[in-house]
Amino acid sequence: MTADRAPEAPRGGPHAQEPSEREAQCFARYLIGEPPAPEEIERYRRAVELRGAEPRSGRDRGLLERMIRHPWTIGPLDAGLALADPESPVRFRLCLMLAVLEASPAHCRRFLPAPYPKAALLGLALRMAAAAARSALGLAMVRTWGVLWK
Amino acid sequence: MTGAHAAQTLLERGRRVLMLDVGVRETHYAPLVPASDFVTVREREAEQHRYFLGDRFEGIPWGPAAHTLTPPRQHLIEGTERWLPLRARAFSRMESLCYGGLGAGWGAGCAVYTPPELSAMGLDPATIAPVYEIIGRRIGLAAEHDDATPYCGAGLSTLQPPLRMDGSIAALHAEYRRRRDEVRRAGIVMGKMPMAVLTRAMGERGGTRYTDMEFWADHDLAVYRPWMTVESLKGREGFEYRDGRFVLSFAERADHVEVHTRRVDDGADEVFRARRLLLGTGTLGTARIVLRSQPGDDALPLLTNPYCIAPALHLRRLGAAMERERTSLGQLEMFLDPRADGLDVRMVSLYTYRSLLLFKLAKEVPLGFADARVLMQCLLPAIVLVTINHPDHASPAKRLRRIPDPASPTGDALEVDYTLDASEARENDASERRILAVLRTLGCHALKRQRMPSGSTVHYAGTLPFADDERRHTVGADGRLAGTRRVFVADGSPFRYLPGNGLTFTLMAWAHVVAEGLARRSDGD
Repeated sequence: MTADRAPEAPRGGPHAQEPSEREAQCFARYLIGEPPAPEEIERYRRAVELRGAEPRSGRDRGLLERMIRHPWTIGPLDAGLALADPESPVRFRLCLMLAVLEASPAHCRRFLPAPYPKAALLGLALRMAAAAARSALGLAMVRTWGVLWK
Repeated sequence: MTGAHAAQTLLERGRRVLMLDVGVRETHYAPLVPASDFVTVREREAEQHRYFLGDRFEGIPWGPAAHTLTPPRQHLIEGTERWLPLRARAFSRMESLCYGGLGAGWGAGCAVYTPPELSAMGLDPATIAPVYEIIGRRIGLAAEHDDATPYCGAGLSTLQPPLRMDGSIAALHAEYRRRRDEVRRAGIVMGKMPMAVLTRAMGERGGTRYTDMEFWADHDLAVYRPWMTVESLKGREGFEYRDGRFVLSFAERADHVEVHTRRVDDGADEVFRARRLLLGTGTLGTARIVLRSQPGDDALPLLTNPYCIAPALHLRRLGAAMERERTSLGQLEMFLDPRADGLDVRMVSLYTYRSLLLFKLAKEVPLGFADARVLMQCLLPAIVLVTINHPDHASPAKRLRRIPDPASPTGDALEVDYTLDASEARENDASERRILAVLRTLGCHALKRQRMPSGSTVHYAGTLPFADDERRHTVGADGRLAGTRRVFVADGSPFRYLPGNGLTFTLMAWAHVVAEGLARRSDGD
């Protein structure tokens, strides 16, 4: 939703091994539509390091770099990986960021359940239809990475 | 669990007790967790990431869905890979070297077994039944008499008010009451399992404030943990507690037993002497000690409950508010009695979900994380986790043996080979379908069934089955290990059958029975 407002990639491109501030910013905006606080960025960096969420293959490194350079691809690629390779280190990094954001009082309204009218289920259904489309696009992108695009 | 209650019984009968334990404790996270309720913590506590995720982010599971311990509970398994190595294919075990053992993370369900279940296990119903009440008074039980009582609470009289149900579970229960006859015709009843949770203060323990923090802390000591018993025994004359000792083996002498131990801090060996030895290290731990002390190539039988989790949607609850005050523990149970004879009963526990955090659910959804988060946040008030526990019978395809392992500090490891046979798997499958069909009529629709790896219930038994003929690696009706005069087994090792309902309450009752028998013996025995 607001991922395209993330800061510019640093000159020389993102470093795939150690998460950059831009990666943390892009992921947080993608996941909850809010920027992370500086301490959450630092926590994310430590989580990646301590849990060993480094890309293991050229494909993972390539997908991660693509996500950071072009934040609009995060949604489709994440959804595609959820189907094609759910335990990919790229997804692990997203999971680590989601956990870091959840365990922070600043974003709790994005995670705690709140009552809503039944009519809101229509909005949820529309969002899930869009999610299905994102999954289809993402799956095609993941499957053709290295063949049709890089 | 069993050691604590056996020790209490022995002390109450005037005996002297030396308890040997590794006794790993959690001192890192416990002081950090506030006494507040979960929502308040989430809304206000800046340091919540430390205990929710862990300082090394060890609370963020990755990989296939499995039971994971929260950071404040991970001390339960500290040191087990090193000291208790186990080799197995598709067997997920949990053992503990912590203070109070596996009870430190127990779900607090206290099932009274039916007489047919007790008989099938090799226990005498007339002996065990009154002991449930004794243990219940020690630990405090919240329960009520309802349709489920014949399957999990018969004969209990000293009870505190039951745990409150949250809105979702209460609505399911109300629907059950409306359709009670129809559901009962399907062989299923619904009701509340006695729980080792205080709803009113008792001694130094407080009643639950429904903080929804049971997975993270022992607020007000409302949920019973066996370390509480050991703590209270420490002040009594005749009780000595030595921690940091890993028990390796025993050797019987003419008038005493030698217990060989290794200190976990420096690896030094120590020998303790006692008139009698009572083993309460858990079924797998006791198997290790016995196989080292009575070596050979024997394979021992093993029982563990097959187990399935079905996340379900309770559609009426979509959009509903979730109460601030609730419990993470099991709130309501269902029992399927397939032949209406009180045997091979399937036990179903119903949980709602919030305090284990949303990201763990989002990870299981085959969507991008952003969509999965929104979906799970909307569905959360309607999610019911249905756990279905099946009974287990001994079979030649369920065995364990001791194997050499030079890398282990004890020089050995356990090797487990556990396979359900096709007929058991079919019966379990049919039972699961029957249970989920009934839940559907109550408005709760299972999304999928996830069969958990064998051993996931953390219920183990049957390695040293009851027998009265002194056969090697069996146990007599008084708990005495065959081939010994002074060694007794107080844990689940002798149970010949494992009911679907959790065995913890019966473990405590059995430990009391063994300890009482032991206390009655004269020293010359």
